Amino acid sequence: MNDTGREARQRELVSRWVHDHGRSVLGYLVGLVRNRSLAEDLLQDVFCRAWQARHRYTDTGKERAYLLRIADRLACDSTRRPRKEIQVADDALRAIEPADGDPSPWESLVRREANEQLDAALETLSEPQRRVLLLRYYGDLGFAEIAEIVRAPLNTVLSHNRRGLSALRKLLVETNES
Amino acid sequence: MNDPTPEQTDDADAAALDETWSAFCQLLGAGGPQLDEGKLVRHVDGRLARRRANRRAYAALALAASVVLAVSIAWWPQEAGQRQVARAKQPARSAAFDWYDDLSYEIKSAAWTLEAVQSQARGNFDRARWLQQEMDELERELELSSL
Repeated sequence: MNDTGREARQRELVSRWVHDHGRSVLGYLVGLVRNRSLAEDLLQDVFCRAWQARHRYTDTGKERAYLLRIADRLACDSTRRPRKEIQVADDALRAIEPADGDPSPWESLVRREANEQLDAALETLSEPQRRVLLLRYYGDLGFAEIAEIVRAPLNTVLSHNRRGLSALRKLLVETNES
Repeated sequence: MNDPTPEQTDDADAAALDETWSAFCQLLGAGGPQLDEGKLVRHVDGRLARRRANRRAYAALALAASVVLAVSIAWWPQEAGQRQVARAKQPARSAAFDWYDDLSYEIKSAAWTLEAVQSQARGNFDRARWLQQEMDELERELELSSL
């Protein structure tokens, strides 16, 4: 296949991946690394790696699991290996970002509250618990598949799930009481 | 009122966890990040294009390196043959000298050259002296004949 044909195929496949799974993979990365700019950088890397390793992927209808597996590896690597570039704080980044489609003040308020609640919820979870719960939500995966992605025994994954949800429940009860 | 049985406790726990899971899903749904798909596709395209360009540059570099290597390999035996011819013209090696030491060999070779030049010079000097003697005798004979 010549370069033009390969580039066209690449653009087509990457566009489809981004459209079908981009938001889920970004959500997973943001939830895991807790830094929007780093998550966006990793997101680009996920699709680049996915394209480069596409020959290793056998089409079993689990594209999202394939992308989330790559995202998980990259996110874990990035948290263990400090990056050299300067990280901009999320608040500062939001301040200079253009507004998304100019939402109404009410929508902005609701969104901000939801973000704050989500931040607090993720803060209560340990990294393994976050990985399991976020993979379950964004990948719509079973526990056996999650165990395969995080390379942990099934019982460990079930335990992380249960403990994570217990911690979240405690937080929700405290929030409701206050 | 009776205490709940272990099964009832497990059921209540499971229901509570299901409820928590639903609440967490709602939070993720409401607070999830927005994504500009077009921008992301452009950035991914750009990164992949840069990687392709880098790969091409590395391939060109590797090709140039292999050409240099091939030329070096082809040139080496020829150059080594010339060295052997040059060595054959050198003086016979002395057993008392460490010929495996290249620097010493060079010094010895230079000394031999110097010796050869001096020898030639001595030869020339001897010839000059012989010619001088010949001229002196001829002059003496000329003086005697003129008397």
